[in-house]
Amino acid sequence: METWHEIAWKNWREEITGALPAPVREAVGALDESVRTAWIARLQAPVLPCARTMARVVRGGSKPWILVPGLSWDIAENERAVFIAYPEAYGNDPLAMAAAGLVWAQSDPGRMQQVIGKIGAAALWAAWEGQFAGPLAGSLWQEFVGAYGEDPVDGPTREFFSRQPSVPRAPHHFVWGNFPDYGTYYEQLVYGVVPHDPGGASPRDIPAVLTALHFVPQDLRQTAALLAFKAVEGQLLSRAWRRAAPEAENVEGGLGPW
Amino acid sequence: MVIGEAALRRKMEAPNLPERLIVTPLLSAEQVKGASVDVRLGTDFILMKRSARGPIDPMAMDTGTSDYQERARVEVGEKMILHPNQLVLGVTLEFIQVPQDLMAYVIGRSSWGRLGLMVATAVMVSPGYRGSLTLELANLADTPVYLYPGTRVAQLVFHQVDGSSPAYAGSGGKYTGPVGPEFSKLSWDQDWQAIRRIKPLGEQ
Repeated sequence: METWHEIAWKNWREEITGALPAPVREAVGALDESVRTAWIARLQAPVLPCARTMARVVRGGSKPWILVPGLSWDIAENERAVFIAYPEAYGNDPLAMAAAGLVWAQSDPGRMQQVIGKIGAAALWAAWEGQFAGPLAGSLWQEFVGAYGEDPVDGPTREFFSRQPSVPRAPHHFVWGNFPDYGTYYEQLVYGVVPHDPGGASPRDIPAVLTALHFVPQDLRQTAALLAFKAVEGQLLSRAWRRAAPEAENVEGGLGPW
Repeated sequence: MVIGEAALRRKMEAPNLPERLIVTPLLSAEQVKGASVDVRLGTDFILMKRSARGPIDPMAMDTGTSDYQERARVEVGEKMILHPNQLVLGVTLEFIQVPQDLMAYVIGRSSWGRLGLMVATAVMVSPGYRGSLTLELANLADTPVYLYPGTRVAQLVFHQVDGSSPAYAGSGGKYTGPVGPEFSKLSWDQDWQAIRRIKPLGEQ
């Protein structure tokens, strides 16, 4: 016979999950019982728009991602969905939230390559900004330095990676693109406007906006995060607009990997 | 003097940031047309609700605003309902910078006005302003109306300003405006200090 405590927990779980959309409810139900209650508790709080949008930018795989606020990064995955908890205090920062991709990658170099394919060099900045390194930190650092050298790396990021476990004997090889051309966006962020391309178009190069944000001085950092997020959001919306209204003359450019 | 389309486009391409007219994201080149720039409804809203604790006192609004307002996010592709006599604060989708030699008037589109939707009662944008524009949206008709983020709700008409003094640039170029809707800052007015001290004439 169930105790009143067990019945109370059962009622509590049913009350919260009952308000969720059916696919999310089913995905929660498929979570391992040992972690299910903790994820149900997290699902009560709404996800911040920046966290949700950046998950869309870095998302890989075929399963939906369900982002929830928490106190630290966490992940649970089953056949229906990927659950990722992010540190809510960083939730308005697009570069910190890009670390969701690193959380998803964990120790899978194929996944890490997918993330690098989407945000390029910003994958390294995201680790420090989101304060998450993960099991592939050593390879990420070594491969970044191999591609771009140490010159672009600032002190805090270098120090952060120096504290991570050493590189494995056979580091994973990652393919990086060109180093982002971020100077114009950096100037715009420091000046205090949303990064943009000529004529008011949204920046086509999201990794460059994220890289610019990484180098903004700390006293401007949180304000700049809001501006950078507005630029990322504008770019995603512009692409969606272009797909939805192909007949309209549009000021935006080609489609990217997002 | 109202700024025409060609001059607006030149201003938007200005190489120096402080001299640039910024309207971003610009989803369609058609938004700059004639002598105005169309702006779209953004995704963030402040909903006004009935307070359980007391009326809004513009002299003391520094605390407790959650009692009569709540924030809501409605993505492009979704819709929200605006009931008769309901006021919500919206925001332009676009972030705007008005250079020092221009000012702008915000004019609601008449096609929305004919449905009863009034937009932007605070219609002037000062030289040097940077940020998204908060829009006061009110349904004056008797029928509820849906609001769709991403739709063009207002126009900015720009005028040349002769000899303006900076309204926003006093902080050494570090000024940055909001990217979401902002509630009234009436309580910040310096006039309140004087009004608090003045005794009604009948009591003197």
